[in-house]
Amino acid sequence: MIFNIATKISIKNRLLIQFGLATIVISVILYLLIKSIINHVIISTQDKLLSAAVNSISEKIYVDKNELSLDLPYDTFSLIGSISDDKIFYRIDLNNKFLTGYEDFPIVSKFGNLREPIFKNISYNQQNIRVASIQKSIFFNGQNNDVYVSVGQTFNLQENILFKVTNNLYFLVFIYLFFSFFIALLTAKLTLSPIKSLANKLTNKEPNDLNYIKDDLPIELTPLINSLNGHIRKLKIILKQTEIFISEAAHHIKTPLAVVKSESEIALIKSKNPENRDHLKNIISSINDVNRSTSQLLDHAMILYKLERPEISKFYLINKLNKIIEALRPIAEIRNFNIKHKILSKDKLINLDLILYETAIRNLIDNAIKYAEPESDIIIKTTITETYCKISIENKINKIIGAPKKELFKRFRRGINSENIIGTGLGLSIVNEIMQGLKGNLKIKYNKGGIFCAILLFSF
Amino acid sequence: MRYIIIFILNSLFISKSFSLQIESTNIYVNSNEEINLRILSSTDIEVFSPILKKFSESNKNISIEYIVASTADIYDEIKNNRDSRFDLVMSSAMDLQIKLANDGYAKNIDVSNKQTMPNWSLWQDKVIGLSLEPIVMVFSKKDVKKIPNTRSDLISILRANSNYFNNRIITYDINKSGAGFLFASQDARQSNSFWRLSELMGSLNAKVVCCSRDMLNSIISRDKFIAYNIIGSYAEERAKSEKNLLIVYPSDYTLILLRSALIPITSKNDSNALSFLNFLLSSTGQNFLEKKGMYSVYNKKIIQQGNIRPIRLDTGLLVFLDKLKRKRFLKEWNETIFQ
Repeated sequence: MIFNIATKISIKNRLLIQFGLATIVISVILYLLIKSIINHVIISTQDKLLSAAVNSISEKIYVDKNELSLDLPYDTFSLIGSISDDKIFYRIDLNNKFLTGYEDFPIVSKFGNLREPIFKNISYNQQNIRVASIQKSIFFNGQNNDVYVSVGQTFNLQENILFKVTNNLYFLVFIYLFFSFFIALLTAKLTLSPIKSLANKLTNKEPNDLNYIKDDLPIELTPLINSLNGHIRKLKIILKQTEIFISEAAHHIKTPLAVVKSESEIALIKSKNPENRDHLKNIISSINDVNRSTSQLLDHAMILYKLERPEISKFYLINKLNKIIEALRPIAEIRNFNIKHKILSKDKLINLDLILYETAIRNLIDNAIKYAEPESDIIIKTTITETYCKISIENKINKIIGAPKKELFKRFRRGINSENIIGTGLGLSIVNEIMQGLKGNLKIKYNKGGIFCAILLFSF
Repeated sequence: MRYIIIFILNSLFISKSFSLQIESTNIYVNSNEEINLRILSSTDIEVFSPILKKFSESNKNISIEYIVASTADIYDEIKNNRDSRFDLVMSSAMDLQIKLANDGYAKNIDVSNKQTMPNWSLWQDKVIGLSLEPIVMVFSKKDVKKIPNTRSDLISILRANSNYFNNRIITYDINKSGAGFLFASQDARQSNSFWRLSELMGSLNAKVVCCSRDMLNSIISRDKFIAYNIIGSYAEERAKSEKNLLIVYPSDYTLILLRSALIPITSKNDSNALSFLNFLLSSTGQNFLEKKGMYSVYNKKIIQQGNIRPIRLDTGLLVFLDKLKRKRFLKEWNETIFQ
């Protein structure tokens, strides 16, 4: 049965969303972190190159005939420019007057020394430039002269590396997200598989199966399992109490009834008055009905109990069946029925609950005796294979049953042909429940010639 | 219908727009009569004429004006003329080309076969190498009996025959020629023998001129016997008809010039300039250049030769353009040449 329960977001989707959000946050943090580290490394590298360049240039400034001269180092320019095809700008000032280089190149406000140049980001010709600047003193013309050297480089190196790294990072983040999604999906599936397996197990559980759930399940599901087992225990107790109540009630009724029956029989023997005798006969007949019904109720309660705790024993199936037939034969003969047992296979030792087996067979033969046309045959056919057993019980009926086959399996449901026949309507219901408990099947067939056929099919 | 009008101005012509001294102008007019690709180049029209014709044939919507000027004038035009009308600049002065690009006067170039081009032939996607050109020595076969293969050999021969070679040497005037200055500065970087050779050439009253053409003419006319530092492609082209020209690729080292191109920031037809560059860098264009004695930029063999010293297309070239360094270098050179 499927119940419509108001559901929110599934656990799977919740896990996926949480996993996805966590992955995205981690990816963004990683991306920013890696980018920042790389940026820092590149700027440090560029600063070292510029520092080397500015020092190299300053070393090539010399005095020639009281005039400042410069032998700009070719290799330095070639090196710093060729690493990433960066543009290079420089400016050299002497005593705050432009000496050589790019005259429009901005003069920085602070200058470092040979060991520690000052680095700054500036804008020149609509380009971002990293500049290293130093100041040094050169003595000539009888005084100390201040020389300011600035070397600037565009950010091509940085931009190129960042572009490549960013592209790789995008790819890595994409791959990371892709795999994370699958891992999330797998994790969600693995996490939920015990719950699914439990749900399947509970769905497939027979209504009569009140066995406790003892599967190896994750510790997180223990409270749920304990709770379910608690419910099963309560159900068992209720069932047990019901069985005890029924059986006790039956015994409480049967004992006084037996007394009433024996007293009525004594009174019948002693009574000479025909009218009183008729009354007493009616009373005895009614007591017999009540007694039978009580027995069947007892049977039913016992069956429910036995299905819960079956006692498997070994016995020969046909041999046992013959004994049941022989026990019922006197009753059948009183009613002029002949029971014929057609054995179609060899007898076999089987493992089954004997009481359940006997109860099912006895109920079916009892039914046949009750509803068969007088002086007809009751035919029992038995077939045993390696894995299952088929027992059919046929009897001729003279009236239409007048109810659908499945209706006959319901408790206290009887056919039209049961009028004037003592019974409770529990017989077929008990057999059906036994067959369900044994994972077998009870079939009802109407064969030609008004033959009613009940077939038991069960494995052992 | 395609037709070509060619103007050749043998005398120097001063451009109205700026102080650009135009050496020659050639126009290739197509169905579109309006000029929509103006090329400013330091390369003689004789070299580029077949390529321009071929390109013009396959691009009927492009009409070309090809103007030849000196490398220094080309640099000045692009740097100082904000209304410059040129769409493409081709120059043998790599240093000036790098300087223009470094200082923000060049647009980005996105040629179609960029992936197959060698890395060293591109700088910042702004300057692009078109051909490799060895810098050679040219001798008059009839006048120089013992041909030197190295600069040291040349020095020895000049010293041993100083009277014979007096007034018989010709080289670039690096005060006027950007290419000449580049070759001299690179020579100075490569070997100390350059200054010894310069001093010797100065003592032998070497003549200095602006261009390769003048140097070759002097050798052909046998007025001069030795031309030092001359662009190999020009020499090879002339040597096809002038049997007296003997070209020597010095075995101590041979500088390799990368003739380069850039699209000026003021270009209005940069897509046409790019089409022409793509054509030049295609196998057809490179074949044309090779027929004119240049080497393709894809030619790996020449680069792998032991004596080859390619001039690197990088910011190192800016160094000799520094005011103080240039001044000092020219001063030293002038002192050695004009004694």
